[in-house]
Amino acid sequence: MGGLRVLVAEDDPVIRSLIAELLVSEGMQVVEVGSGDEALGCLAQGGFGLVITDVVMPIPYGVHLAAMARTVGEGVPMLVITAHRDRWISDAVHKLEHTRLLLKPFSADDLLRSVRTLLTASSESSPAGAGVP
Amino acid sequence: MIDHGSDDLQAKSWGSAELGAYPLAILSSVICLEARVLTRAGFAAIQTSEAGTPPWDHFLSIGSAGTLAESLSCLDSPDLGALAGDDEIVRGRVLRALPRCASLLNRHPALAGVLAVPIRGGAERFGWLCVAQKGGSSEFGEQDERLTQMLAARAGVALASVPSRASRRPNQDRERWLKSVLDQWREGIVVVDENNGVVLQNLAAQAFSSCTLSTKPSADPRSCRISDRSGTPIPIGESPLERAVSRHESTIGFECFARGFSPDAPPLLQSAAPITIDSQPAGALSVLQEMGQVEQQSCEERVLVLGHDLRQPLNVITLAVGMALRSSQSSNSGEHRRALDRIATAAGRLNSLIDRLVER
Repeated sequence: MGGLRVLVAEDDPVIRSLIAELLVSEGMQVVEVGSGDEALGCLAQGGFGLVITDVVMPIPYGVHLAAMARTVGEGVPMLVITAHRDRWISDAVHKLEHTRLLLKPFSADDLLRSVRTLLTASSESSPAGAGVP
Repeated sequence: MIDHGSDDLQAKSWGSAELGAYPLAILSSVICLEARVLTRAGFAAIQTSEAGTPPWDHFLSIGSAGTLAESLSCLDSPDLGALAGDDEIVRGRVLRALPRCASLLNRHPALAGVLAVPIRGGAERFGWLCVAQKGGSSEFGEQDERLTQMLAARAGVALASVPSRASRRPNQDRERWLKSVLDQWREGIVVVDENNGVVLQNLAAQAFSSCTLSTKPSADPRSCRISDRSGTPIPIGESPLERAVSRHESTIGFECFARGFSPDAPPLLQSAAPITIDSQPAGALSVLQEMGQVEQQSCEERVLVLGHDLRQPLNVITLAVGMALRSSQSSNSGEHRRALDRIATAAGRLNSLIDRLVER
C-alpha cells in the first residue's frame, strides 16, 4: 500500500489526524479534508487511489458523500466510516461498487484490515487495477 | 385525531422525467404525512426538483396553513435556504430576525412559523422538507428539527438511489425502487388507485393486515376494518383511506384499533391522503403507525444520537491505543503494553454497553 494517495474526509479533527497518522506510518500519502464540499473538490482533481470518508459531515449537513463521490471519482475504492447504526446507511453503501462500510469505533488494525480487503477486492474486480495506482 | 381536512392537498408540476410523477408523489406524500404526525404540524410540504438544484419546481403539501402553500410555491426566491443565508435549517425565528426577510414575511406571514430542512442524498440537495403550524406551540423545538431531519434524510437517501440516476435502468424499475424503499420503513403503507384497487403495500402493511388488522392472513387491506377508540367499527366508506379516495380528504393521526378490538390490540394511528397528479385524482395512500411506536420514536431518536456521540470519542481512544500498541511492539515496554491492552479492553466493553443501550 506504500505510495498510495488517500483522501481522508472526516469532520472530527482528532479522528481525522489519527487516521492520517496511521496511514502515513504505512507509507501512504494522505490528503485531509473536513467537509463533503472539500472532499468533492479534491476528488474532482483526481489522483486518489483510496477515499476514506465519514458519512455525515456538517458542511453541507448530512452529506452522504459516497453516492456522489462515486459519480465524481468513478472506480476509486471508498471506505465509509460511521458511528451511526442506521440500516439505510449500510444499505446505501452496499449498493455502491468498490465501497466498504466500517463502523466506529474501530481500532488501527481494523482500519488497516478494511483498507487491505477493500483494495484487494477492487483490484481483483478491475483487471487493469483501476483506481489503485 | 390530529387533523381531518378536505381539499387540502396541493400538487403541481409533478412530471419528473427522472423519477416519474407517481412514485415521487407517493414518496413525498408519505414523508409529509409522517412529518405532520411526528412534529404535530398542521402543515407539511416538500419542494424538490429532479436536477437537485433550484428552482424547486415540484411541490406537494398536506395541510392548511393559510397562504403558506401558495407562498412556498410562488416565492420570488424559491430556494428556502437562500432566505436564511448560510443557516442550513430554516427556522421561523431566524427569518424574523433577518431584515431582508421583513417584506417577505409581511407578504407571507405564515412563513414566520416555518421549519424547513434540506433534503440531501449524497452531495446532492434535492430540495426541502417544510413543516409549519406547530400544534400547541408557536415554534418548533430541537426535537422537531431532529425528527424533520430524519424524515428528510430518508427522502434524500431514497431519491439518491433512484435507479435511473445510477444505472439508467428502464422505467419499470422505478416502481420496484419505490417498493424497496417503502419496504425498509416500519410504518404500514398502502397505496390504492382511484378505483380503490390496491397498487402497493409495503412489508409492514402486509404484517399489519395479516397479523393485526384482519383475522384473515394476507387479506386485501381494503377489507381491513378498524374501530374507533371506543371499539365501534368504522362504517364502510368512512375509514381514512376510503375518505381519501372517494372524497379527496386527508386525515392525520386518526386513533383507531384493529377490527375485533381486544385489550391486547395496540392502538394505531392512521393517516391518509389523496394522490393528485397534474391536478387529476390518482388514488390515495394510507400510513399506519402503532401509537406507542410514534411516542417512542422521539425517545429512540435521542438514544441514537447519544450512541453516535459516545462512539466518536470512543473511536479516538481505540485508534490512539491501537497506534500506541503498534509503537510499543518495538519499544519492548511490557508495562506500557499491559496498560494499553487494558485500555483497549475497556474501550471494547464500553462499546458493547453503548450497543446494548442503543439496541434496547
